[in-house]
Amino acid sequence: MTKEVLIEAVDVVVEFGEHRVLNGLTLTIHAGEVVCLIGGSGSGKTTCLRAMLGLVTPVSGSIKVLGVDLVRADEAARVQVARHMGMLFQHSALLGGLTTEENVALPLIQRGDLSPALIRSLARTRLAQVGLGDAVTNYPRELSGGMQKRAALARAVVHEPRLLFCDEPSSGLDPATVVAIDELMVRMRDDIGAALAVVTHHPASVKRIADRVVLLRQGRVAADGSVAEVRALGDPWIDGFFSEDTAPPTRGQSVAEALGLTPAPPQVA
Amino acid sequence: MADEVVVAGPTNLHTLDGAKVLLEQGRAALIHGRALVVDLSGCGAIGSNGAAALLSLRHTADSHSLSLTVRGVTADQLRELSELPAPQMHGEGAEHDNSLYVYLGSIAEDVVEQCVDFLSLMADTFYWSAQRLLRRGPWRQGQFVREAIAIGNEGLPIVAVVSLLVGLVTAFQAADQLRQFGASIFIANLVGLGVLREMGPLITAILIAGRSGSAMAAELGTMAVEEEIDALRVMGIDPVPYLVVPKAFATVVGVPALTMLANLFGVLGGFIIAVGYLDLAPDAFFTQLNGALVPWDLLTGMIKSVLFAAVIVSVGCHFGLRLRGGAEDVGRAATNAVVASLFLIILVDGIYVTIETVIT
Repeated sequence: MTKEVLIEAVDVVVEFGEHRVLNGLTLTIHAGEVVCLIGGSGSGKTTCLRAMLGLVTPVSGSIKVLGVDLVRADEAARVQVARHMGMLFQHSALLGGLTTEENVALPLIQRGDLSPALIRSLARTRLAQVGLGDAVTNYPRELSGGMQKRAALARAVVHEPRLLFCDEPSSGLDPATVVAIDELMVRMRDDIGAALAVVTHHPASVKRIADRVVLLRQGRVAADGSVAEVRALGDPWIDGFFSEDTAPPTRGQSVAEALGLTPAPPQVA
Repeated sequence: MADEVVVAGPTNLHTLDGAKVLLEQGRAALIHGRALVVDLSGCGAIGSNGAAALLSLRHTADSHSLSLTVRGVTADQLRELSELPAPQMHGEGAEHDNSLYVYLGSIAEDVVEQCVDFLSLMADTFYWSAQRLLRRGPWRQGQFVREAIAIGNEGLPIVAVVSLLVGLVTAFQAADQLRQFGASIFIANLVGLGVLREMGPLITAILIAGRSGSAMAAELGTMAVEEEIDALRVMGIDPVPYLVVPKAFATVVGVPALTMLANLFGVLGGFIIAVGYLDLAPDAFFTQLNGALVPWDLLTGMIKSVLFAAVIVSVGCHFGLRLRGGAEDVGRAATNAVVASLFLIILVDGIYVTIETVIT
């Protein structure tokens, strides 16, 4: 059976000034799947997420989220779509003036149809689920980096979104916490049945959680498939990424080519 | 103009000095010829310095539609050049057009963009404030109280002290002049009208712009840098009613209240000089003051203070919300907010006084 398409991005172009970040990106995300976006620095991964969230307006192309074209939708339609989306930001982005519980309660308050008692109970349950049952009255500044990430994850899923976006959820965390966050994300996915789009630089995380891997290069999709499928492509960048060594920089034109010379063949060691 | 100019690469091309020599010779040659040939046969290693010089010449030649040929390349040199990745020469690394027109154009573009953003924020704030008064839309009462305390309570001592000093100094400066003409009693008119109509609202607005306007820009700017504003948008929460409107209500309530206080202390400063320096009787001062002032003098100052409050909150929030960049930009946003607020406060004051004078 074909899975429902939640996101359909077609020929998306995003520019910041003269710099083109997304260059005709076409990508589809289906219900319930975990899609890991990988690629070198500046390949457009985070901008891709932000465009799908409606935080960045493309110059051209269309992004349909739950059937609504975010590029052309009015504010009311965007707000409706936002109710079905959750985002775990790279630096957590918890509101500093609110306690952990108040942060997690925000998306529920935004619904406007839940009683304060139920909101409080739901927020506390999610916080307990991510292991922060004792930190409900703490402010974000009183939490460690890993705890902030977990609180942000609780906030991202508390309203049971159909789409969960995670921007480098494991950045700045120790390996044990990375595994814990990965497990939490997958458990949340199983729990609420959401599709996950995760930007990550951690090959181990990709192997652990990904149903699909999408490689972005120069603002467009360069490879798309399961971990086994993309590894079978023989792309040097993907090979380097999954060998868990430092990912090689994306090679473009050499100086010889830029000067109009025929480059020398690579030396065999 | 020669068709082809040949430049021999220096033997030390791999050093900074060698790269500099090649670049200078190559650029000079490009002025005199349509085609430049760089002969590398006399060079040893090229290195990243030599490669950078060659690429720079390539870029210069391309931008002037001239041709560049590299010849005499040895096998080792070719291997070296093949292994070095070429940087992007367009975008940030490219030579920008630094002409005055481009500079002025970019300033004009930025000013127009800022004005549109600012007016849009003012309209949004007005709309959501009106919605709140009609008891629609979200309302953060706790936040309003916190903001009002921050503006009113914490601004109270500085406004009181500065207003007292300004009242003292103004009266002091005028005292001798008035005494020479036997008009000492008119010190009450001078201080009363000057403080209530002008000095009280203006001094309060300037102090609150420096204190609270900059704090608003820094707070919202930090939230923007930390992606908290984006987080709100993702949750479907409009930052204007959620963050700006409580600040707007608190400022519009707080600034006029502080202006009343500033009026009181400003007049007190004048009273101290009148009694202590000009030897006027206290009841004579207040009788004269009572005769000099009409209710409109107080009201016009209050109207101004509300307008100044709107300027302070709009400018502070505008510079905070539109911040892009890092932590160092937060300080810049706060400074810009204060400078822009002060300019607009004086401008609004000037326009208001002109209109008031024409009407009355």
